[in-house]
Amino acid sequence: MDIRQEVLGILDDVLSLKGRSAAFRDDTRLLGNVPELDSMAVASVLASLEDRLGITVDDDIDGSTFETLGTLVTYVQKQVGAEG
Amino acid sequence: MNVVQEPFLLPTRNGDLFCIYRRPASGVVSAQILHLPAFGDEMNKSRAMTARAARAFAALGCGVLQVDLRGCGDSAGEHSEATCQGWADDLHHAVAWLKSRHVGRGMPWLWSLRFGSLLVAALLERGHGQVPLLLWQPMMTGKQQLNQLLRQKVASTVGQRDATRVQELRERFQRGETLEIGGYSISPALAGELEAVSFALPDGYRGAVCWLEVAATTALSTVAQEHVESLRSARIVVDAFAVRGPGFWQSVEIERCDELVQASASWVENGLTRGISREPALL
Repeated sequence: MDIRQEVLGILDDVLSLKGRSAAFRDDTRLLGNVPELDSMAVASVLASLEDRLGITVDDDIDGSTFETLGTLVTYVQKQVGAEG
Repeated sequence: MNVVQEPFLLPTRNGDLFCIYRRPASGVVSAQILHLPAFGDEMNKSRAMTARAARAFAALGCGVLQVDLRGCGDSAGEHSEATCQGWADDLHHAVAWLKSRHVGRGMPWLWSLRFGSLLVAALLERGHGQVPLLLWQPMMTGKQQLNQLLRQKVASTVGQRDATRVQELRERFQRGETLEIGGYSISPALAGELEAVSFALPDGYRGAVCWLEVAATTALSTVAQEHVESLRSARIVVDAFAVRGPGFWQSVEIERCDELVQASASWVENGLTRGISREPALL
């Protein structure tokens, strides 16, 4: 499973980016930079990650997870590993 | 088949509920379907899609009822006073209306979106073992809905002086506080119900279940596969598949997924021809 690709697909879908996520790099800032990423979108992205990848997002999640694409992918990879 | 759309207000002790009933113009209704809506903004974002599907089902000969639950949409009541129990009562009123509309009919088919699947258990009783269920992207536990709300609240405070954490919000609910989340007031009573409610079917349920997901691929999600397997191991026949399309209930722009409507309509049509429903009733 290519987690980076899964994360990009979910971002593109929830944020209605119409393929714009293809240009995202690991250091692309998300929160505060991608205008579509409002609070409901953050919650929806997390719900989609749980549904699609079978991970559990824990209670201590905060804004830093959504700082860049890289931080989000790293977080998801860690959770996928934890479910192992 | 031409479709007639009838908007109306359904009076209840707690105020009027805004409803839309769609049916074939001929007046011959082969089956009745009640929609169990998504929660909050997901319901708003999916209005166009559920309306499309309701029209498609009506064109096949079904009478389809959509209700704005109390505190939601155009119905009476405040969201801060809304509870799962109250919403289940609203849906019981809707069922009674459908039964009065077509005397002699039993329980309608249930068609849920997201959170709506959590209200199935409150509607189906022991005698409803044959009621067909169409589940769109169903939630299995209210915890999923509650987590989503709490995370939304956390995300809305990022970088602000009142930045908060999920655990802190849980504690505020426990202290009896009502929280404002994304424009909806969530009472501690509702939060408590969400902690506890889950998707469940009555003992001995042997109806037809259709589980549909929308995704970028046509593979069912890992989580859905597990739930579908557990239903099947309880000897329930489940048609489960994913169709390609956008997650219209959560996407930032209003999206539609025609494939979901088509797949659902085919399932309903198969059900009608297999004779899941009873004989046609005249209006």
